[in-house]
Amino acid sequence: MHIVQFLEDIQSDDFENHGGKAVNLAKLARLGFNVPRGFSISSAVFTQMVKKNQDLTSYLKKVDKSDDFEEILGLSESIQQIIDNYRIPDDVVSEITKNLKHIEQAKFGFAVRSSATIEDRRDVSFAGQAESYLCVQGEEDIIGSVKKVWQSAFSDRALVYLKTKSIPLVEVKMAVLLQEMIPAEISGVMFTANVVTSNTGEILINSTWGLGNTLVSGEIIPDTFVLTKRPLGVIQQVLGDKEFTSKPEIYNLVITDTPEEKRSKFTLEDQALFDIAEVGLKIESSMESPQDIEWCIKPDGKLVILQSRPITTLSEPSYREE
Amino acid sequence: MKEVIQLLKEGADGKIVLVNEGGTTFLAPVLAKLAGVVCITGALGSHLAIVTREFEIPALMGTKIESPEELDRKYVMIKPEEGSEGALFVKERLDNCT
Repeated sequence: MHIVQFLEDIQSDDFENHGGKAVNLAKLARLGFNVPRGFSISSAVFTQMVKKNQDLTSYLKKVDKSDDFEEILGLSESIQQIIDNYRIPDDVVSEITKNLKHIEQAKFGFAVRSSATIEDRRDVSFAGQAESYLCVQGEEDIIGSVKKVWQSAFSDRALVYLKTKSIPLVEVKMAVLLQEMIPAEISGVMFTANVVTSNTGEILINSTWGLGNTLVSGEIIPDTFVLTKRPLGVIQQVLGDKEFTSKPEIYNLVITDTPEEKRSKFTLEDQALFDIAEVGLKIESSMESPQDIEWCIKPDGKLVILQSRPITTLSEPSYREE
Repeated sequence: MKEVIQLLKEGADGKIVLVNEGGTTFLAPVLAKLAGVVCITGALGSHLAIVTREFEIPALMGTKIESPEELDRKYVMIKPEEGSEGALFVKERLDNCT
């Protein structure tokens, strides 16, 4: 088994080594969907670090035993420090360097993304708990970002999330996905079912200008569209104020105020919505369940799929009154 | 994060919190206890929305509020409306909502 594998070489059942995000993207890439070029660093490298380091193992055990959130915050700091000081083995570094060279013309650098083995499961999304780093350039910074992604698996908020979901920390294995940055014109999220009403005959789309990090982090209000699947039609559209736009530049990510004329304009017209929805339906059918899909549109107008995971929350419609 | 731990200590049970900035996944530790979350930015595709759904906590995303400070310690209720919309009801006194 290779510790570093190109996306298209990752097997569709290899969740243990490459995590949900990488395995799902690999499947889509093999099926011919447009996925950014990249490779994954196996969770075996992460596990090796944990096993080699007795202090780290003992801190993780302490977190598993503790119910005191303040104690857990303190333990998280110690865990972060140990990972920060860890030296990634030379053979892994040279594999990473070799693969980076294969991906030429990654003009805007790389996205360094978490792909935890507990992430994107059918019952636990771990959404936004671990970190991703965008527009990372140069071998040294890329290696540093890999460690930061590992650290984020045990950040204070991740530890508390895992505790409240009763997931033992030894089960957390973090693969890291490195993909070329796409200088997106428009980015968004699509649910191939209405997650609010659990209606599987509808599609929800959120979209904004530039990269999608402002949208998923909740910093801006994106445009919202509700579509019917058969026949494809737009039944609701709400203009979001899209206050900031995030754009990749050569060496970093730049966030600017969105110009007024773009704030007051919908990011997607009907035809673009239908094209995105068609791809969403094909992905849903390939993955055999309703999906939560992150996507973007390149400057040449092509749609790129950045992530697909099962929707974790479809149920009978209900609400509770407090 | 410290504020979230403070909320845990004083008891988050049954409270609806108003979140006024991005990067709101730090709320995860208290979510299981909260009665609801109101976020002045974001939308259905934001991580906070995904996580609140997982915890089965009602959440309003992208909620425009004129003066958020005035809502502190008020009695509020989240109610779903048509489609994927929802509304926030605010009351001075407690009668049929908390």
